[in-house]
Amino acid sequence: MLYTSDEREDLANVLAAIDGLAEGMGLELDIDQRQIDAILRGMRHDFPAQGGENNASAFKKAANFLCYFVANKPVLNPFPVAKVGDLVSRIPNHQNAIVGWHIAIDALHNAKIHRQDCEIALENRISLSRHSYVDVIEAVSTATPSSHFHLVSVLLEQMCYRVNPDASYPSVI
Amino acid sequence: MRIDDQEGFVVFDNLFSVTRDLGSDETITMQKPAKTPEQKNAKGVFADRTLLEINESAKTAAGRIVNALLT
Repeated sequence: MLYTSDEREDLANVLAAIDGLAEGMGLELDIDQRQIDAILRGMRHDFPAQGGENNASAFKKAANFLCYFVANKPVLNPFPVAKVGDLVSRIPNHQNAIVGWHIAIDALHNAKIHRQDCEIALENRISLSRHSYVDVIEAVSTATPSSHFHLVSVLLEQMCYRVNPDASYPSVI
Repeated sequence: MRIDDQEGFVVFDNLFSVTRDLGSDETITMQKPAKTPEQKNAKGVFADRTLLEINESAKTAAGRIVNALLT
């Protein structure tokens, strides 16, 4: 879904997700396509983890995408208060946080992670309470790749383990 | 979203490409990426999904988001 071998496939996948969210909300969205191109280029360039893009986990890839997405702000229209409620509508850049978050967790659903001798699929999708969702949207709405990549990666990883406890390493500290 | 398999295009009906400095404002359309046999066999960390599956998953998620935020 992301980081495929063809950047145009990434583009089609991202646009399909944004289009689906728009249709599901009954909205038409203005998109700055130059920013989507910048996101897809930026998230592959100089990947911010040891071993680069090819060795990066699903969590790190999803996090890098999410940080670039919210920082580049490709969705130009804030969502109307009639769709997202008063609390979220007051969060600047909420529309890119909502879209970017959806794409990241959709990508992580059924992603494979490596554990020593085996691969495990993240069979259960991240889900949140309304309260936590609003907090997460506010938290990621100002994320940047340079400052927040590692924290967003840890957040996504721990949320995945919350719903897929067998995928986690045992707690030792 | 509409996929024209014959012509090989995907039209994202709900998305408008806005390039403010050029004054353009039109529905986003792109050629549907065609996977080479190597790409079809390449395994990434993320599950392989079709455009329709991605689109439908997002529509479902949108309903959940709106319901949760407005209740």
